Amino acid sequence: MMRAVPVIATLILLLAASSLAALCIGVTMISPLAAVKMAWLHDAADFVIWQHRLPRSLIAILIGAALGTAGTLIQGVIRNPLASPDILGVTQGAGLAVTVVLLLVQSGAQGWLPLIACLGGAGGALLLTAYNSGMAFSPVRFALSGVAVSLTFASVTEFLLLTYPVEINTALLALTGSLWARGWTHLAPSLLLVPLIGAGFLLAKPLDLIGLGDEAATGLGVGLRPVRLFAIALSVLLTGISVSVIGPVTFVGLMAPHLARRLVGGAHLTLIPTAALAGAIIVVLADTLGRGLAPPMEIPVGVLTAVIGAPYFLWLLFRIR
Amino acid sequence: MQISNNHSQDRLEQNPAISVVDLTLRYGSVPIIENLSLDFPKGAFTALIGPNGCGKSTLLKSLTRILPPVTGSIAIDGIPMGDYSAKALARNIAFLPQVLPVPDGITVRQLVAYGRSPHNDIWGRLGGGDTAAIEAALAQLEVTELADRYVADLSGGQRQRVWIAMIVAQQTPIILLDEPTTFLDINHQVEVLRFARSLAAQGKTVVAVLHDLNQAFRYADNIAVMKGGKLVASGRPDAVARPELLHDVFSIDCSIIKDPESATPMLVIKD
Repeated sequence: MMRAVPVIATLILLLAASSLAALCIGVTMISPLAAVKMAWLHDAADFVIWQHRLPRSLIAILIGAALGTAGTLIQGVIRNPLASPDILGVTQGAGLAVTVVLLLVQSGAQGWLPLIACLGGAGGALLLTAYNSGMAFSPVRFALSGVAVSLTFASVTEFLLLTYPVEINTALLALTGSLWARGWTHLAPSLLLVPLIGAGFLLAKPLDLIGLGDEAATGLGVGLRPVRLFAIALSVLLTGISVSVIGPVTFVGLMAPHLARRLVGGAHLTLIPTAALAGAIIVVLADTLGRGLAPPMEIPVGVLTAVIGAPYFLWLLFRIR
Repeated sequence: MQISNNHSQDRLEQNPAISVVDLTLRYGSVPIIENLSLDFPKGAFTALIGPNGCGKSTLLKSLTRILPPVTGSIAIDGIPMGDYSAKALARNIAFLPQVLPVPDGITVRQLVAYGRSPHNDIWGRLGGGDTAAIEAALAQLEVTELADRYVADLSGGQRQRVWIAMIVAQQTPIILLDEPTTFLDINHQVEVLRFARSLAAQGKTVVAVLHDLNQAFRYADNIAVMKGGKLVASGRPDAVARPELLHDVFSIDCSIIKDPESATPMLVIKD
């Protein structure tokens, strides 16, 4: 509790440093001082910074924070550090919807992809909640059915890609989370994430109490149903908007809350901002790394988070059992 | 002891803190409790006893609205339970579950502070009264020196005491304890039972599911005996502790003698 403030301050500094690195690194290397100056003054010479790297970094920060928050909310409701927004059916539902539309409409669908991803994500989440709404809520069943729904969507998507390889490139691009070519126009939908992240703080106290078990939480006056609904709905929206803007970026929603819990403990009032900052740092660094490793080639941010995240997940599993 | 008995006799005759009328409870379609009517006297320590699966824990769960009644009614302090908001109910009844999860990354003081949540705002901010209640509860359970340790790092007995401190910090007139002694060593069992009795002496209504009959007879003011989802008997320990009744309920042959320390009934198993 006492160490939360210095931890959060340190993370803010780290995020600032990573964002600065994100402005400097890429095909054109720019010195930090020049980068700050260009972003501040934005004259004609700063095209790379102002038109590309700055909006891209801002989107990375917002989406990272959104995924960190969504992961914290889901882990709080499921009471399991292995849960994540990746099991809400949102990411894979969005992927399936995008693939189907790309196969049906051969061209001209590009501009609609974010909306289609949003609808597909919402459809996946609705399917999952509908399946779980008939019975008394069980965290384990919710998590497992989420995994099942997500895997089903993913395998149907793969089946379609293998059977109809015509549009495979466009689809694969949409199915890999990437910040490539994201600019100011993409920032507007990402700004929606800010109030949603803020709304997550309203759940801090009830999620703390749910962590004590359903019985103790009820005994302390928590209405379990509304809290769960609100938390799941918020996570779905945060994940859905993120997927629609940059595509699926997995493992951030798993890693960020877990790192945050190790840094500041289990109280959600400090856990949520810490996880949001950790998520932002992860996405900004992954994107910067993706651009800096082998320019001019870019490794998509979703590939990098998976490459880092999968071993992290295994290590986490190993530590828990 | 004589004075204390008279005192508890007075308490048994007041208006009940909890009044259960014709209650039926089910898990899915499995009936657990059928048409149970029972009063819990105010300011008394009531022990709920009965064989495994008789519905004792289920009854406690319905008293905190964890399990909604199929039929029947529950009144808290004369007011139907449905009229209480979740928070208002939590300001009146505290509940210690049987199985206590180990919260991750939570210190003892944080856990005990959660007991104040029915009293504070949506951010869980602690006012001066909250802090005083937390410190008092930590002191009462003698866990002040553990306050800054993580709950996950404590022993089973310490954890149980810390959880009890949490529900004491809730400062409710009614306290429900679901098997508070089951996982404890004998010294901690006695501590918890003495503490429950002292809470009742402060005027609180305490209801505890207990397995050890002799402990129930010795420490509780009032005993409710359940079997197969029904109430078999309720009353003062000396009224309930009868060999025939215990034979019917627990299928044991026993005789009842006087506890040499407290003069309360004591059960001795016959061969």
